[in-house]
Amino acid sequence: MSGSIAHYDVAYIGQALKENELSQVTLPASSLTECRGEIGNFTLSYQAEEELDQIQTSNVVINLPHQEELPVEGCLSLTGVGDEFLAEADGDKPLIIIQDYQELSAAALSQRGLKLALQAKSEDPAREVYYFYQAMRFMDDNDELYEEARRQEVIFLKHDLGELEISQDGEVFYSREDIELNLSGKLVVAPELKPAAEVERLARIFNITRGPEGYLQVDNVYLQPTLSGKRGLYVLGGARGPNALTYQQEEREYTLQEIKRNLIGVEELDEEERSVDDQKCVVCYTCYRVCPHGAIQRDEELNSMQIMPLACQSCNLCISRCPMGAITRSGEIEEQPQSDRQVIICENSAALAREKADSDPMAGLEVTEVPCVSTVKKEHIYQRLAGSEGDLLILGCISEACKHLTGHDRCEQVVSSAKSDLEKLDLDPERVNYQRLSPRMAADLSAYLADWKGEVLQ
Amino acid sequence: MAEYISKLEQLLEEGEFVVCSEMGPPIGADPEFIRKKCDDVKGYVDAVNITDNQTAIIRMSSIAAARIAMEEGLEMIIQVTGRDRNRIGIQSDLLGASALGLRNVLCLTGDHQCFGNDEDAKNVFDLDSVSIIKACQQMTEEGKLINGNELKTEPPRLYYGGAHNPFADPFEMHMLKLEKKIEAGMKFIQTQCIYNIEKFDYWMEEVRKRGLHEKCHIMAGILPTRSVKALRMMKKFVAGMDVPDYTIERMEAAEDKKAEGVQMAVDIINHVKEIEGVRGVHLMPVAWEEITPVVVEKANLYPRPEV
Amino acid sequence: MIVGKLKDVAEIKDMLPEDLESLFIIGCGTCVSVSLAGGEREAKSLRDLLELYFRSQGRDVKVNTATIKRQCDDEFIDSEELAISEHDVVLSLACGVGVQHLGIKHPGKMILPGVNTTFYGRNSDVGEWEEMCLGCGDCILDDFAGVCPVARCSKSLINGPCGGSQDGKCEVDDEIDCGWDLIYNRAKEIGQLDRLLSYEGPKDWSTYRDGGVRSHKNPEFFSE
Repeated sequence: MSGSIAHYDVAYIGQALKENELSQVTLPASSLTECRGEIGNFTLSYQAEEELDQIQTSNVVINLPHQEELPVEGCLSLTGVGDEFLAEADGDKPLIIIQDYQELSAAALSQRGLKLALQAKSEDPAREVYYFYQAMRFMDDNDELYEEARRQEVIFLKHDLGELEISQDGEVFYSREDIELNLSGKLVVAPELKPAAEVERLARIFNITRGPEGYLQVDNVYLQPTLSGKRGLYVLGGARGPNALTYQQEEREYTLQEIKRNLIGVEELDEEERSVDDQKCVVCYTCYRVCPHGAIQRDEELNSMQIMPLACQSCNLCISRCPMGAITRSGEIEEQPQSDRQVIICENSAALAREKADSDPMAGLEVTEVPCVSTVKKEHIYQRLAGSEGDLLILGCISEACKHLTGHDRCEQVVSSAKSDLEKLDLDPERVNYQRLSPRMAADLSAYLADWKGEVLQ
Repeated sequence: MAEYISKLEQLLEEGEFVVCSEMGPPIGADPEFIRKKCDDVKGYVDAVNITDNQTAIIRMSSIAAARIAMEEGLEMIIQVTGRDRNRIGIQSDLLGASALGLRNVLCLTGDHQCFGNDEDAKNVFDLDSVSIIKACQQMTEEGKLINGNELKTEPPRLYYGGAHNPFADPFEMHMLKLEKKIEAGMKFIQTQCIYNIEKFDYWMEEVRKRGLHEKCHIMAGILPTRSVKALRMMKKFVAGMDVPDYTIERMEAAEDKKAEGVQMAVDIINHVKEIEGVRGVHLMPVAWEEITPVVVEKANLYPRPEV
Repeated sequence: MIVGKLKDVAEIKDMLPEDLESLFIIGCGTCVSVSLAGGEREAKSLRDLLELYFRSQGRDVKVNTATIKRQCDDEFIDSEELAISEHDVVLSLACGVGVQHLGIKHPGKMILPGVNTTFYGRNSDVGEWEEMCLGCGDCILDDFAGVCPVARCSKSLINGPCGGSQDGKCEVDDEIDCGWDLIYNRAKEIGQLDRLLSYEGPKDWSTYRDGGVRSHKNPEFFSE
């Protein structure tokens, strides 16, 4: 390997975006072996021709196409149909377009289908065009396209479960109410979209958690449109999600904008210092695995984990779950709760809901604001209960609006475990409770707290 | 003139279509329990299995119960599982069984103890079915124990077989086990009870392809049932049972469930009789042992041959 | 790695003598930390929970804690000698080895086990472990395509599978993978099926505890 490593503004895994201002490199997903470092300074190792090589980059974009599954081998995919398609022979055969066959198709695929139908009609108004759908999905001007297609006498047929079947040789059988059709012709089907190839590997290399369907972005407002949870790492297309076809242009623009902003300068997200005691760290990898932001890596020399300061988004989940208490933060103070009614609230939801409420619903309560409720350690729960006669309420965020993705769940796991242990020792498990809120739920927050205060006062 | 170790061996070797049945010993020490059961089947079957703490439920030992039944004039097959005894205990039992005049052994790995009432027990599994078969083979034919030592007095006279489940998946893996047992010297097989005829036919085809039916006598397992509930329970809770829906539906549709159960068993017997390689049937009417003579008669298998 | 699971807290509480005045909880910073059962985090939160409990009972019991790197080696235990002597009872969160080693070093002190040592296992997911090895003392992984019939089969069958194996799952519990299914598939993948076919005699258990409680000496540290 040569002495110095090339540094780029952005590295693309998959397909590059067109942008002249940025220095860039493109690597195939299958060649990537390791990612170290953080935003502004990622080091990517990859398999070059003969040997392992490295590049450095400030940002990473994963842009891969969806994998597609078609119901029948050999039938045409709606995404793959080019301009020459209609020009080919078979002009006398009917054009059969099917969407929503295996799953409800994305709006962007619907749009393609409608445009294809219109194109066929404009080339040959006499040609029969069938369009099978379960539900029309509207975006942009889909509804206009639909209306126009109807005017052009495209035959729209709604299908439900079991009413439409495509045989292995591409024949279409349709049976609904009193209509029975047996068609063959030029068949084009909206495919079932699957996550891009290599997403599992990429998730492992970049240490981000995949969503339930296998995509690299989970369903969360804080990640829209193209964030991955890891600062400086963006996900597009088939790596991102099934609906990634709809706003492709806007997503690309947003991503490039973010990258340019990052290049101006990236700052740490809070003032606290976090450090890992390398004498205590047992390299169990728990912090690495639970970190929602891929902000931890192993320091190979010390053989201890290290928190990357720019990547860290301050949720403190690692601190809460480290089995050796090896991670500390400068802002942690000894707690001395006084009152009987203690509330720990997430600054991203309950704190905001509190501000929105008419009168402060937490007046008279002892409130501690935390960047994420996963900051709460199990021993804190017991310490707080020991220090008072009263109750402890922890208010986290709802799943789709949890800034730290899994923090809300992780906290609930700890609270459940604490409640179960309290019960086993005949201590009242109701002394600690956990609720999830969204930032908007000001009214709910007030009502819930009024109830809770009422009980506690008794 | 060949000298046969047991009547069962003679019948099988001489080409008779054999009928076996099964008996569960009492959960208690009463020998009369066994004697009464003997009356049910005498004359209708060629040999009777006596189970060994089946499904890990503690019952009178197979050898003791078999000896009692043998004294009533029945040809007995003891069962030996690897779950409860180590190699010392098993070999010792085999010597004792032979000394008591018992000649037929079914060698099984054994159900896990979680199926019984002693989940806390330590399981042994020092020997599995292959090793037990091998132990029988070595003792009987070489006069040797597993450890290589020679027996000091007369070796046992045992005719040993095993069980097989034709319905277990993945298919190839279970075939591997079957081939190992035959390699170890297994003389006969009793299969898991059959309801899924197609799958059994398929298994027999594969068995014949490998020539295994010529190395080992195969007896088809039949379990006459009399209720939809029994069929459902087996489908759901018994590991390795294949009870097709059409079987349950047939029982559901029947007015006289008992008669239907008998007929179903007879139909299966008639089917397997025609399969090349099937050398007999093994009837296992769980909790309905008295139905054995009825089934045997209806399947035109009565009277049994005299040897 | 040795995997353990923290005991039910009610069971721990019931172990403690009624006249307890001081309790020292010792966590262990190796296996039970990596298996998230008995490290500093568990030691501290158990301390806080027990303090809460004693307070609710109106009892004045001092509960202190320390976590040492390992409890299976003398030198680490020596560092806590004073603290151990100053408490009535010691609750060790180490595996069974550590609890007993503490007892060997402090024979006059009641040393209680706070963790159930479960098995030698691998980490299959964050927070999840599965049994891989039984420490039989005579590794036969080469004969079984790298999957252990002793530890991965619920019956430790050398000639598996048993008749209860169905669709790759064990008859004991359908959450358990049939070890023999794993052996078979692996053997197929690496081309070792014929090795499985050859008869395997019963296992020699004398290298396991069956042959007597075990110990061994590394020859480079002991001369004749």
